Amino acid sequence: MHNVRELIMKKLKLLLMLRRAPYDGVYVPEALDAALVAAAFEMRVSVLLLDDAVFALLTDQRADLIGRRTVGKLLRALPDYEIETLYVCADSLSSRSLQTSDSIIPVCLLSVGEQAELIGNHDLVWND
Amino acid sequence: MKFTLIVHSAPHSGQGSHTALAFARALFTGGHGLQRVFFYLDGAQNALATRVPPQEENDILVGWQVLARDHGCELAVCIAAALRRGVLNQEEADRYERPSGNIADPFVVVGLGQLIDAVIESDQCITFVN
Repeated sequence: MHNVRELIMKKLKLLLMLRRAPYDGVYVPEALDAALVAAAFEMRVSVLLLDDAVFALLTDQRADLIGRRTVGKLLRALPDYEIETLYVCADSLSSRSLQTSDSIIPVCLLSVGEQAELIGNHDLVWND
Repeated sequence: MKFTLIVHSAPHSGQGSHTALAFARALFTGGHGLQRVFFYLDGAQNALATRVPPQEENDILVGWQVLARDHGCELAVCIAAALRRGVLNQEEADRYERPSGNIADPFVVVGLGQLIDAVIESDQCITFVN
């Protein structure tokens, strides 16, 4: 049996890789819920948006029109949980004709190589 | 090694939960430890007692129940994911005034904190999707 407290003190690093579009089912909000609980357990959590998940960054999301919570607002709340840096796949953004200036929050763009390094720097990876 | 398995897929919508069950059996055969299987996202539907699979298909629910009975591992379902998908124990059915609970024995409804606990306590954590 591990000493749980000791392991928590090690501050495990969790990387959440989100790939699906923000309103594709409830996948993104549920994944972010898990990230927030992990952060509350003092894990160090990073979030990386890839593929259609980059659409979550867009300003002027009107999720109320489809009876949903706005995913952009959830992303904006991440710093409240000490999830300070939001990483975004540069290729995913540019291939959808989007720019960082389209984003509701500041992001850190990463090349594929840099993403590999980011994954290597984490103890746990959520990749669904 | 101590494992935690996380299941994200519903029984009928992909291979994920079937692969997870096969993997869990293999873990015990190989002498590893599996304390908890955690069902999240659409995986919560694995806990439904009311599914009726056609005769020629394996009933994965029975598979999970036998696994839990034979090896004593916990089958834990995230409460938020479960509620959203209509998977309720009697207590939640009463609380939200729904006609009845429909969760199978021995699944337990837990908070997401239990997932984080399991991840922290295990050597390896494997997620099954699709």
